Amino acid sequence: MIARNLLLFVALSALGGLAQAQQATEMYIPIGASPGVSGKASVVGTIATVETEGRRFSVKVGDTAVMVTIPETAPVWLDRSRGKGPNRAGSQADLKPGLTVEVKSRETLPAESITAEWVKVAVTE
Amino acid sequence: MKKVDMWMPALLAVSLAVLAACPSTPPPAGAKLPPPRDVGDPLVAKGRELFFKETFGGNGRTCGTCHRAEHNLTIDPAFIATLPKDDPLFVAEFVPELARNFENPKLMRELGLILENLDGFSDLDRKFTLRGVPHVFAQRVSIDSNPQDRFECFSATRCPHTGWSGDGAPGTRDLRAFAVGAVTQHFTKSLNRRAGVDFRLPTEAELDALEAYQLSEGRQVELQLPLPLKSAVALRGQALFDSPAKGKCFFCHFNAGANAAPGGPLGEGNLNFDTGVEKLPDHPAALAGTPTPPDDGLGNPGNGTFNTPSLVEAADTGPFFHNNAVATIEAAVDFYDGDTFNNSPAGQGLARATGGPIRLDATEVSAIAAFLRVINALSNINELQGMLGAVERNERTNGEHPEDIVHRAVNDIDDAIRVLNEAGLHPDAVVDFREARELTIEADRHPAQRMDLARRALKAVNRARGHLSG
Ligand code: HEC
Ligand code: HEC
Repeated sequence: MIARNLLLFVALSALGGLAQAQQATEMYIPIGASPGVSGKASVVGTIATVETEGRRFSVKVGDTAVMVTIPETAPVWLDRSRGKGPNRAGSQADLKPGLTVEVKSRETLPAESITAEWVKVAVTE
Repeated sequence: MKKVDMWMPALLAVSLAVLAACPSTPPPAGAKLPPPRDVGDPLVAKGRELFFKETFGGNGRTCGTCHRAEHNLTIDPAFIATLPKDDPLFVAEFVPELARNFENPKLMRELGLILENLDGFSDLDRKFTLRGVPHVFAQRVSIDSNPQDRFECFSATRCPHTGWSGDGAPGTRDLRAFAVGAVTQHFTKSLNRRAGVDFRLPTEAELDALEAYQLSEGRQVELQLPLPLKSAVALRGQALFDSPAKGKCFFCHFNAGANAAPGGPLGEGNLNFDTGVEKLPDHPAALAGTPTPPDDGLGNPGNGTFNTPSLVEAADTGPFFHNNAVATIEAAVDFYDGDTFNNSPAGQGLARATGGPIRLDATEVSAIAAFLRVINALSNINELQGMLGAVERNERTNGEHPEDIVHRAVNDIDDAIRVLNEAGLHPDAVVDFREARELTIEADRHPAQRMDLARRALKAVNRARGHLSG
């Protein structure tokens, strides 16, 4: 009985999926401006190529390229601050070659390929 | 620590560890909590100035709009009722762009609740939480869920825990990130929340200063229980609080703070639990006729857990719990005797591990509450010793002028008197506090005698302390 209850707890906490940490206000922070994150735990660069319906894309950061995988749970936000528009939730379809992006990495940086915790992409419209 | 080791069955280790909301992926090695700074440090003074005066180009609010200098860095309905109509706390009542989906003015005024979009901004009509304003004292010892690697949080697992659900801050989730989140949530001129238009983001230097100030507020170290308290009732309350068979409080509130018992099973530091507060019947907000969406706690979607607050500062900073569910410290203690707690995931885990639910009778509830009242009065005394000491020496603390310190000291004396009087505790100490109060008011009125009057007030405060504890 006790063992079963314990198992239940373990299962519940695993299902809880805490990887999705609180990110609500992050959406409103322009690319490159997240304190302690931008440039340390994130890469900022230009989208070079987009594969498999946006689930993977490469970012050019200076002379190097970083391969990014976006899990389904990772949000994509549209940074419209350059046109003074409000930032919005977007989707992987918004990721297009040539656009500026910031990707918060789950892995320690620098790394050649990373998993996104969130993606911000600069759009002007 | 011994108290835990001696009796703790391995079972508790397992059953409670899974309740704690932190998975155990080891984080990368990184920076430690910034070191303590002394009260004269210019960075702290700058942080204090920013906290209470800077509006970040927004709607007029400052951090101090909700975390009031003169009200224990928080607000409650009685205090809110004293504010003028045009106080920036009420921007939703007079700024048309903020009239909808920014605050709930009725529940702000009736219950002291503040609106937050912790689960995102995608459905403003339905997705929000209403939470009480926590005092922000003792941050140095109460937001740390990861003592080995405090302020690097890139694994998104073991991060500092800020806010009622431990996830109030974006990014690194430390106090620097929290300030950015707070500005974006509370300072904006419109719901577009455009950085650079509706508010400006704090600079790196401002974030450093704000963090340094916040880390310097209030208690810097943990109490070491048991304290040699002089009230028999408070002493009994302390024993119940620390008893693994009765109160069981210390498992989560070790030394009446915000951290789990170290060396114990829960993991280290400041943890999250689902204690069932959301499931209490007759929530005041619901009774007020304003149904609010359930608050799902940590994460998005939430896992129902909330972060453990420190209790030393609790008695004079009600209402209590994340949603201001109860107004008195006695009711907050009594919560743990009820079915809602004991049927909650945390309550069930605790019951299985310790052989039964928490059961407290009326006298035991009042004894634990008396203990919490007395340690709160002691913490006011600690603050007063710092404040009146500075006034006596004619020194600034954190950039605050003695003239302002002495004015603010009256509030802490009033708090100590109220916290003891409400439960008929220590009439002897109350007499000394009253004398200290009169002297402090005189010191406020007569700048020429301020130093001498502060010295005498401090003596009276120290006499009061002598009545409370050996
Ligand atoms: C409109 C009211 C309001 C304003 C203005 C405000 N806060 Fe808060 N503060 C709150 C509420 C409500 C919470 C609880 C948040 C939660 O549960 O996520 C909170 C929580 C906090 C916490 C977490 C405390 C803990 O124990 O975990 C910190 C730190 C904090 N605020 C700092 C700030 C700073 C810095 C500013 C200014 C940049 C600020 N606040 C402005 C209402 C406010
Ligand atoms: C399993 C961990 C756990 C145990 C055991 C526990 N608490 Fe708590 N306590 C919490 C958490 C988590 C919260 C915040 C809950 C919320 O707001 O939803 C809390 C909140 C409180 C508050 C409200 C503080 C405030 O500022 O609003 C008080 C008072 C309190 N606890 C007292 C006690 C007492 C007394 C006991 C023992 C009888 C106890 N707690 C046992 C975890 C615990």
